[in-house]
Amino acid sequence: MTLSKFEEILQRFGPVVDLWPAELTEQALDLLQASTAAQDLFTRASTPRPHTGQAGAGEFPDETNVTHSKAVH
Amino acid sequence: MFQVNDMTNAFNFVSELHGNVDLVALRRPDRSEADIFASNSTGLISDREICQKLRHNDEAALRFLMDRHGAMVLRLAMNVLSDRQEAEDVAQEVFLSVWNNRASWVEGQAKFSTWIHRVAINKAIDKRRQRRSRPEASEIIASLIESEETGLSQTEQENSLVQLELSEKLAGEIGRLPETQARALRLYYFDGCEVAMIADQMETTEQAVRSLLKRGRQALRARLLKQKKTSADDAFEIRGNPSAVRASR
Repeated sequence: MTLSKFEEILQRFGPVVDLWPAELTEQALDLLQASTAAQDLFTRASTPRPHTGQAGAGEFPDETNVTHSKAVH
Repeated sequence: MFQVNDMTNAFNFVSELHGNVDLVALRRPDRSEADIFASNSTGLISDREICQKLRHNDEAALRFLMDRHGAMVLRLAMNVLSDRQEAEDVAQEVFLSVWNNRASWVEGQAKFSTWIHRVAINKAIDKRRQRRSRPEASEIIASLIESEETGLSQTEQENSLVQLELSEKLAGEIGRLPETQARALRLYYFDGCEVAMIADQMETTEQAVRSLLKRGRQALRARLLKQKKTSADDAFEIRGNPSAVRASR
């Protein structure tokens, strides 16, 4: 499995392994164990995003929050 | 902030294996993180500084690391395992590994947080795969009994009821072995621990663990053979003695 495919899985299904398509799980876990880049992606996907209370659908809370924080400070 | 209570088991685990961890000092309610690291004037101590303290056997530093990284370690393990108990086991193993390797931990290319997250992911994947490769206790016991040394027939091997009965018997027999042998066998067969892990838990060498497992298996086989022989003798006695047959009805 390629790193981009792994990233696609993370984006589509999230970081909970049990929610990944069964036929891809083992390959994805193989990559996750072998690749530090995949581990970093997985960690990032597992990191809870700060709740801004302002982001709407389709927006990106993290970036919105950063921009907002900079404006405030 | 991560709730310390969630990691109590990890502390207990570390404490059991390393009696020098001063839990009382760590848990003193009047001793906050700020107190523990009051010497730090910046107010925000870095992982690098904590690891330096850890290298000097500072147990409070371990607690600080657990507070800081425990939630994320647990979350990573949960995402891989989807099982709270197993995820907590992984978290324990991760922090135990941190403590055990405190003297040798050297700042490398990766930050401490990156390193600990990677350890957590790897351990969680290992545990997930252990699940599949780890046979059920009854399967293990049955396979032990199925070995040629016990001399059971194919029909008996395929009879699940017999296996179940023997499994229970064998579990009971393990309890009658010397404590160290029984513990090693339980850890190996029931908990799926590797020899190295058992050696670590029992504070002995891998060679000693292998020896305990070997002697334990031999003792079990001997006991089972003896029981099998006794059962066969009983059956013969009943078959050969009409009054005994009547009495048995």
